[in-house]
Amino acid sequence: MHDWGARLRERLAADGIVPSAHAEAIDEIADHLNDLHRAAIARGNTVDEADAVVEAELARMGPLAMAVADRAKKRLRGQPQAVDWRTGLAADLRHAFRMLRVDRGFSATVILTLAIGIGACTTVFSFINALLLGSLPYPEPDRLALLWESIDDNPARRMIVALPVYEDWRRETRSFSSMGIWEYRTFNVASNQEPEQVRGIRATSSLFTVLGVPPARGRVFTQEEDDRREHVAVISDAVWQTHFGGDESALGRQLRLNGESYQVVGVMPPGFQFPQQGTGVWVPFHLVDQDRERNSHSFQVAARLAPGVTFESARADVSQVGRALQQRYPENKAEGSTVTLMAEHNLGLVRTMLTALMGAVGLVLIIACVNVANLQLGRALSRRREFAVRLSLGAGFGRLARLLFAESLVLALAGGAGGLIVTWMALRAADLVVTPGFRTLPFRGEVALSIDGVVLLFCAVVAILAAALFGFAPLVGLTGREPNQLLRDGERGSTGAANRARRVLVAAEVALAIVVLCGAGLLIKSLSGLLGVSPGLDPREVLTLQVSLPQPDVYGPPIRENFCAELSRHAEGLPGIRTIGAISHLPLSGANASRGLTIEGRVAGPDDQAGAAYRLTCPGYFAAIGIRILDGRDFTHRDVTRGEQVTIVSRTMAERYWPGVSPVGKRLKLGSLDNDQPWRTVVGVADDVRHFGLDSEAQREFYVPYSQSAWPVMTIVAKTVGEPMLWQSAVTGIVRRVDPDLPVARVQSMDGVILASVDWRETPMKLLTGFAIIGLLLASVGVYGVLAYYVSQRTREIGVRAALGATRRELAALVVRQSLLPIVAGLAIGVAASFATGRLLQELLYQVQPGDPQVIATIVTLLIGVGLLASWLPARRAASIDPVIALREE
Amino acid sequence: MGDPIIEAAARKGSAELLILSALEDGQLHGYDIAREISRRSGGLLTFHVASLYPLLYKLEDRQWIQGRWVEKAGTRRRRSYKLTPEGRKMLVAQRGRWSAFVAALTKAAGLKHA
Repeated sequence: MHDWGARLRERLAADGIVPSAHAEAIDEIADHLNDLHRAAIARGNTVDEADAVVEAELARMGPLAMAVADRAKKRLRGQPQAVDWRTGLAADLRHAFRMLRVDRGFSATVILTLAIGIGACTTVFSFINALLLGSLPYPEPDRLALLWESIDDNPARRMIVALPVYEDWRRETRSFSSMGIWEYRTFNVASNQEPEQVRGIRATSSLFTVLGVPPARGRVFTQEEDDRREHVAVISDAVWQTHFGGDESALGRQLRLNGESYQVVGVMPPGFQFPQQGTGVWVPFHLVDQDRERNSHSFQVAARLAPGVTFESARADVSQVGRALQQRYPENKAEGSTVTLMAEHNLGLVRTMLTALMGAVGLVLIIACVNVANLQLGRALSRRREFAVRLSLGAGFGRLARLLFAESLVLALAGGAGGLIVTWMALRAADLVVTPGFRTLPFRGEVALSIDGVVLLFCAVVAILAAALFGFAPLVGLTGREPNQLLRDGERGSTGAANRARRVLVAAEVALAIVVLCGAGLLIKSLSGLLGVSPGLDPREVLTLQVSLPQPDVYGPPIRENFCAELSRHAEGLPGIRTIGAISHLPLSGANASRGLTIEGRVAGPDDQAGAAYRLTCPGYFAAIGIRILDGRDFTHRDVTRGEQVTIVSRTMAERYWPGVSPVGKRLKLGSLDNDQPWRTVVGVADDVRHFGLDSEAQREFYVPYSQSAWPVMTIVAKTVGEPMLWQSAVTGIVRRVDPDLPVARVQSMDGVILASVDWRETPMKLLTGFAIIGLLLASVGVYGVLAYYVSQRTREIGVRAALGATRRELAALVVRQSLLPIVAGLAIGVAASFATGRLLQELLYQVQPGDPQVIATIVTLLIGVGLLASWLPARRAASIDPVIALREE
Repeated sequence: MGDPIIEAAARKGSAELLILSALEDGQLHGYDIAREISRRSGGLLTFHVASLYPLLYKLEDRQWIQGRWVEKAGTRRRRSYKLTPEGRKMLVAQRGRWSAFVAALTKAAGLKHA
């Protein structure tokens, strides 16, 4: 005989009754069932027949479960509620753990989905945390400012500074406690080791006061040492390690910088990367006469706000001094003065990129949450009895919501933990995806990406928000319905509200996916468009490498008069090297210098001083890098130091200063008419180059032979045969033969230089594309899930239609048609939204507008394809349903 | 099966009357209440478990009947129900009301006594 008590418990448990909570009621009813069974046997029935009698009673237990629950509720009401909310929450969480352990497949799917969404968000946030929220490694970093000359007072149109203006600022502004100036230099550092090229600056000693970072060893140089032009140097920890093996006795010892001996007076701490990553040498400013030119913009100025001075009042102060200088000096007539926060320097673009990325991963997370919400809806349906019983137990809607939220919270926190793993892996892989330039910030060096407390907190908050976002989905369709009605519905069919919710979810997923994909599409189109732009040169098979050619007078004729000739001579006849040349500022490398000019015969107004970007080259440069000479000739080795002074101008410059005539044979000189610079004869016109980036316009440029005017750093450019990087040692060998003490640095192919110039576009594009693909996958899975569920819900209807003679094709078409409605709605919303969000990307776009029809068409086609596939798979299944089986399902 | 009749009766309150009458002569288990009603109605009226107990709970709530666990020597304890004084008053009152109703129904609808 059955143990009817056990069978009854089982039956009631299915209705969400916890048997242990109603032991007496169950015992009583079990007695009744046992009596029934005995009586049936006594009437002469077989055991099976008696069992059937009892089972028939059990089959109609629904109302009884309600009554049992109801009674317990009434009894509870009489008692004080002793449970405070904390124990309540703990109990809820324990319960949630149990529920989720039981439903492993569901839990795993949800946690994985959330881990991807939360992980993507946390990864991007850890970038934001490191790059935007991190502070400069100096005391009171918010008090540090940079001063600029500018067109009007506009900080957006700022320029680097001329020394006399700096001196005026020091005298006349009242807002700063200290101010320092520096100029970028490159040093050949030689000890017993191989000579090494190291970045450095020449700076006033006051710059160290501004920064407020003491050296780790020794001291910084003093104003007096600078005034006495003493050869003293402060070195970085890295240089100390490399050249002195980290020996304490390095202080006071000599180090050869650019061939001259300097005494090491101090070593900066390891993290000190001012003004840029890899700076290894700081030497006194050692003023030279040319520094005194009021229009020679060569320097950068940093200052520390005086105590109590706000940034705004400092800006007003600086602007006012700038206006006074405009009145006083003709050279400053068109120039004002402005100030920016050092911490904000060059972060604008990074901020735009990270905002865009954060937006994208936010959308991916929402897609993930929508998927989870949808899974929850499906699960809620099978738990409706449980909900109904809980409600009838007096749980109340709020209590039920809290219980469900506890479950969602457990899921979300597990998802968050998974997200942290995703973040950890993503940051490990960041080196592969994120170009180093993206992580290197001015004044701070390379920023470490890490999971710190802030990132953890962010992850937790996102997880809780996500839980709030998807956690209440199961409540859809429960509001305003009587528990017994819910019970009667049972697991059969879903409510109208839940079905509507599902359609909305599909539309939302499609819309979100479109927004992310359109963003990625716009960036891809921008980058591919940009890489298709001709830079004005031929980067194929070109090797570039940098050498520094130090000399005391950086403005005068070179000490190595024959550098270019030697270069050509040693390259001649070498296999693999077709042409060799050199330039001071390699296009697209970021290097630049410009000079004010006097054009012979041109009458310039006071606001219209001539000027152009200034380049020094060795003969062969134009041929090696593939810049066409449009008129006249290239330099030759006969353009010697003491011969006729010559120049080549760019096409844009020729058109500006000699419109309609050939400039060849015309003359110009550096600086103003009355200085002692020689007149230079134009001997050729070179084609324009997009020097500042593929997305920049060509500028006025003029070239001067290196043999006639020195420059401390030259980039050797060699046209090779085949893959340029293979000829690296050949070209390095040429440099060795020219001068064995010249260190070689930054060996790159010209193609590499061009790619590096679009680094800052490529990184966000790669990341955004990656996130968009994740978003698309999640959305596809989600849409498929909803539609497949929808079809399974309509199996019976489809069976009826099939029985009534609908063909398979018609049935499939029916399902696809109905599924496509929310997809199309999502498409429309997504396209509209992508116009708005595309604007956020504006700064990153090149010749593409938000709402680009080609991008939108591609994405929409893609999404329709995905939607068709997602609805066709379940439709095919629906169409192949045997009507008989379908009808029997009820 | 008698269920539709019982359920209809329950709605009109007659099922309550049936239970109260079954308990008139002493205390009974749930099973015996159902059996007694079935017996008295000649098998015409039977209660399903799922209909009986909700009613018992309701009557107990109203304090018309009282259930308690009874342990007899040598047997398992079982729950029995008996009428409360309040229940006994309700039985009398309901009987009166139902007699009047049935009499009226008989006259009005031309019913014959069984």
